[in-house]
Amino acid sequence: MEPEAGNGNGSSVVKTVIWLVVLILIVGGLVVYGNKGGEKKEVVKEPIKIGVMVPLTGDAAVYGEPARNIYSIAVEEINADGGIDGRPIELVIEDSKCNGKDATSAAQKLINVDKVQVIIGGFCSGESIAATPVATEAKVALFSPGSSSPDLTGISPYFFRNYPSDASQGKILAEVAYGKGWKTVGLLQEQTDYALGINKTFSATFEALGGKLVKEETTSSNTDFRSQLTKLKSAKADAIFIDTQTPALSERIFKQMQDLKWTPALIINDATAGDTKTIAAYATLLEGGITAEFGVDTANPKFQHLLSAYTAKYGGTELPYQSYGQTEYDAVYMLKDAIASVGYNGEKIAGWSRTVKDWEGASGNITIEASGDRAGGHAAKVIKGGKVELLNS
Amino acid sequence: MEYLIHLAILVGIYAILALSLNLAVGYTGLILSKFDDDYYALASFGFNIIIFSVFLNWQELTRGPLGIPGIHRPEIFSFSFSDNLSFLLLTSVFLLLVFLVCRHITESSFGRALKAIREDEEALQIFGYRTLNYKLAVFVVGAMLASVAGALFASYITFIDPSTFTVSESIFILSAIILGGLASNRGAIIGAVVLILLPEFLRFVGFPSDIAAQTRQAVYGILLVVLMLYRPQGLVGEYKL
Repeated sequence: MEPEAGNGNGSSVVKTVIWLVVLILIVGGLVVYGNKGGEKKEVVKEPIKIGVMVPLTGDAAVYGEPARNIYSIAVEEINADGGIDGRPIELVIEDSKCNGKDATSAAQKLINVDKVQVIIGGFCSGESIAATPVATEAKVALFSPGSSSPDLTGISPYFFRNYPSDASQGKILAEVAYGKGWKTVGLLQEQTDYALGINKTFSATFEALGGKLVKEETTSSNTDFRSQLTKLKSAKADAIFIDTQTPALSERIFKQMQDLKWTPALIINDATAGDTKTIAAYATLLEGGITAEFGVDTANPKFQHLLSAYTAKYGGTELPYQSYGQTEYDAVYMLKDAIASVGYNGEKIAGWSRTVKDWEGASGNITIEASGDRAGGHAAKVIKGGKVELLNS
Repeated sequence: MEYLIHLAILVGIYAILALSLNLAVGYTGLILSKFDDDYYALASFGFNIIIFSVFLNWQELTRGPLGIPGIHRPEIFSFSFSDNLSFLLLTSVFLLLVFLVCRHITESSFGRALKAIREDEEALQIFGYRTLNYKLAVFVVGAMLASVAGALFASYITFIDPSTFTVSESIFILSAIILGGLASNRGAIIGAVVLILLPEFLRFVGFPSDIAAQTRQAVYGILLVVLMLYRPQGLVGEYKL
């Protein structure tokens, strides 16, 4: 009884669905056709297409929005300057939503529909890890200016990044901490990929040196750290490593440390150290604390130029998340150099990336290692009088 | 072409998920008899969050928030489904199998009992059915079929981390079966097709690039609302929510 009713009902619906699909195809086709017509009139030389994957919707959109703006600024500058050998750059931007599924969809679309030879992205490490096999199979270069997961080191000859791996930060922090004579370190780590990545190399290096660790974990949404802090306090650690993803969480922890009237020596990561407000607000607590920063160099003329260009174009807002902004800006210019010297070919661009040595950009001197990672990157720093300074000796 | 194959694979995987969820939600309506309608939803979302924190914390198994990268494509004997076309074939075979299993279940006497549970559980209990067992059975079968989708997804995307399994993903699959039509196996597949392909087609509509991504999400949402307004029972479903 039911199947019959279902069939009668179903066939008309199937028709509706088919009509819907046909409609979408027609509209899509018209749009594509319309675009093509427009291009022929306006542009004499065929543009060079560069694919872009950034999270533009969802939680990570706060990073993706400025990233997209920076890419457009860099491309506008390059095109105004004559493009690459007279050919303008055209960005094809796709939303990768900070997850593997949408990143593979975006990469497939960029590679197979837009036929790009190089993609800037992903931003989140999960995007890059998932999109790398797609790019590798199609022999397209994948260039990430934001993914920092240690899992990406040497993942594919087609992947490279100008943002340093979290591993470099953990290693430097551990060496400096041990060198300071801190033999037991308490660890308060947020449960995110970034914080865990730093913690892993920190722990491995620190224990290999002969140090001891006491570890406590916390979720990103946690607001009460008293139990963790009390435990760490009773462990009589020489120093405490606050390993978080966002300064907001660190701030809550600092506040409660003050409430507990506990002032141990502190180690913080660059997520907190990069937030000047927090550092200034907890100056006394953080005095003498160490950190490692892939910091921005405000004296760098290219970086200053990026800051002023961003503010000028986007209505007076200051560039947010500057440590990512600088590598994103550099990424476009690096690709310009790559395409100018080896041509528009994914395989050759990926090969070129391994030859990059002391490339001068807004984020300082960039050298890409054979593993596709940026060499160095983090520098040991110390907090003095509410300011982060380079650690001497 | 590769792009279309990619989309077809995703559609296949999500169709399997939708089919298995449809078994549990569409046919029995509900979970363990101690829960009533509303509590069912709350309990299953609670469970989702519990599982999420297990993924986050059981680092020996899941590597926590770092996720598991480099998952290999499946191999049978020496044949590897490494290229997308063969993987699409594999997905289609599984989709067909899952569809046949679902159809078999829903058209059998067992399936009729399930439908009766949805309509009036107490009446069925009076007839001497142990409704709890029926529901448990169909939940286990549904979970088993969903794991097929999970295995395909992980080896296709090659990377999973806890954020792959958030509540919003569950809502996505739930919307697929509501859109396709509750308690209809064909509906579940159609729902997955529409929900996966619609946002991908919207990539080609040529919105101004500054607001393209946001517009895409907004249009996607509006289209879903419109569809539900004009077909509250879903595209091929029999029952209104």
